[in-house]
Amino acid sequence: MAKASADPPRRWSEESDAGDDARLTELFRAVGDPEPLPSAALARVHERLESKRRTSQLSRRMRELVMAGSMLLLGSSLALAGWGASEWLIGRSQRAPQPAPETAAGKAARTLNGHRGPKGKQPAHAPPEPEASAPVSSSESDAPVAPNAANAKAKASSERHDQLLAPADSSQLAAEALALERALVKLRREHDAQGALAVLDESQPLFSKGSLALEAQVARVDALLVLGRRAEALAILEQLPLAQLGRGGELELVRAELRAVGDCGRALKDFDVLVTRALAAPLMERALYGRAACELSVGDRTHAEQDLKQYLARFPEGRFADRVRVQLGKASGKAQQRLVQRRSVALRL
Amino acid sequence: MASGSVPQSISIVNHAQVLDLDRVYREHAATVSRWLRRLTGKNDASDALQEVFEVVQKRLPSFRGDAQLGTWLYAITLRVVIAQRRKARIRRLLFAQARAQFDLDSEPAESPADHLMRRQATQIVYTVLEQLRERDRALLILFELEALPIAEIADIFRMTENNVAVSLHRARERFRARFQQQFPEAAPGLNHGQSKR
Repeated sequence: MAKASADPPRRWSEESDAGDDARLTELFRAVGDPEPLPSAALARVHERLESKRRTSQLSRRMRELVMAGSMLLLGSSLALAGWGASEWLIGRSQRAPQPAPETAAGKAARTLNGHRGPKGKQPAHAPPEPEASAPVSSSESDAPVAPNAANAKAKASSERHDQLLAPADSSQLAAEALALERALVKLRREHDAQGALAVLDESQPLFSKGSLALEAQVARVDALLVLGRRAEALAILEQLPLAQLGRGGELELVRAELRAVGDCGRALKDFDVLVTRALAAPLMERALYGRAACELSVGDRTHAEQDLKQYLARFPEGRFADRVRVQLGKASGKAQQRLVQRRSVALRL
Repeated sequence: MASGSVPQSISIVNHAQVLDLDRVYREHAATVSRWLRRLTGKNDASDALQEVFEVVQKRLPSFRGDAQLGTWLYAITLRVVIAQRRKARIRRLLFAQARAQFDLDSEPAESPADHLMRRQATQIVYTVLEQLRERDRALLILFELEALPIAEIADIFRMTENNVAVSLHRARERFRARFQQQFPEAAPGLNHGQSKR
């Protein structure tokens, strides 16, 4: 191999035709420049990225919930252990024989014995006596432990324990997220819209004001649409603050399409807004066609024709392209045939 | 042939603006898809494009603007392509699949004959590139086909310009040797464009 130089070489495509590498020069000049992917393909990739991002956000949220749940469980266990220990000690102190009132002679004898007294007779394996949590005054030390004080302490401890075991906000959210996830799995993975609705119905009374209530409503809309229950889906969509939700205008488009079934005038306003937005290509395609269809149905042929032409220009291979060509009277025999075939397949289904 | 550098619109990034994935995708996806087609020699770049932007999404929060956005994207694209090619090579080894095919199409040429010539030249170049080491292949694509300046290639590979120049000389030597061995009489666009292997 020739000794490599540190000077930058000249590109083969820029060398003279008669140079040593004439063939390579010709070859590299002939290689064309690739075009970028078409906008439809770019939009599809964007959609895939979006859905992946949503999924990963959900799983991150689930991880956080699991972490919060574990912390809660650990805290509860520790509190329970503390409570159990204090209960045991209280019970023990109540069961222990109360010392009899001491006589002056007994007191004197105890003083002479160096305060050992009964302590010296303790069995070797007895549990160690706990240290008093609070200093006891000399007058109290001689008196028996008041049962009321012990009960009050136990009650306070029990209340603290109850508070710790009560469902906290995070566990509520975890349960809500689990229910929603179950519904989404049924809907998206198992393609069981009816099952998804059942799960949502079951969890709705529990989480009607939960943090994921909006998301649950959107899942319900999806399930209803799969089942063809459009009126119910529209009724929900009419109530939802769609601008706050994700899915980049998709839900607003669905609402417009559903409105168009009964009220094209209202739907037209939605479509007008949607077509001015930077929607993903598949959504834009639907919005443009939806607007044209609505314009046709309200008798606005001029604008309908403009939209149909715009549709064909932007989506010549779009899903409504054959239909649009037929509507514009531009359909070739082949396109019409395809349309008839699609209709007959749809009818058979 | 490509214009020589990453487009100006990509090079100049206003760091005061927050970079989010949607914006980066909207502005640069088409360019990245063109790079992908160039680097893979294949028309279908959708999966690779998704992979590139998944990496971008992961790394965007830590992008500090030390490099130009275009160079940064190019480096990610290159790594994704190299990783995909490694996987494909392993799959070919494991499952005895056919050798990689190149179907890269360029812009419509003036005539069918020109178009055919471009296709054949592309086939020959990618067939020879395929036999080089990944780094040589990438260097040659960036320098000879994308016509990137040495400084930019150095940024992408995190090498000094001197090292890039030396590596390029060597990569060109290897390409020349393979080309002469495989296509001793081939002239691009003529009828000798068939691999003899």
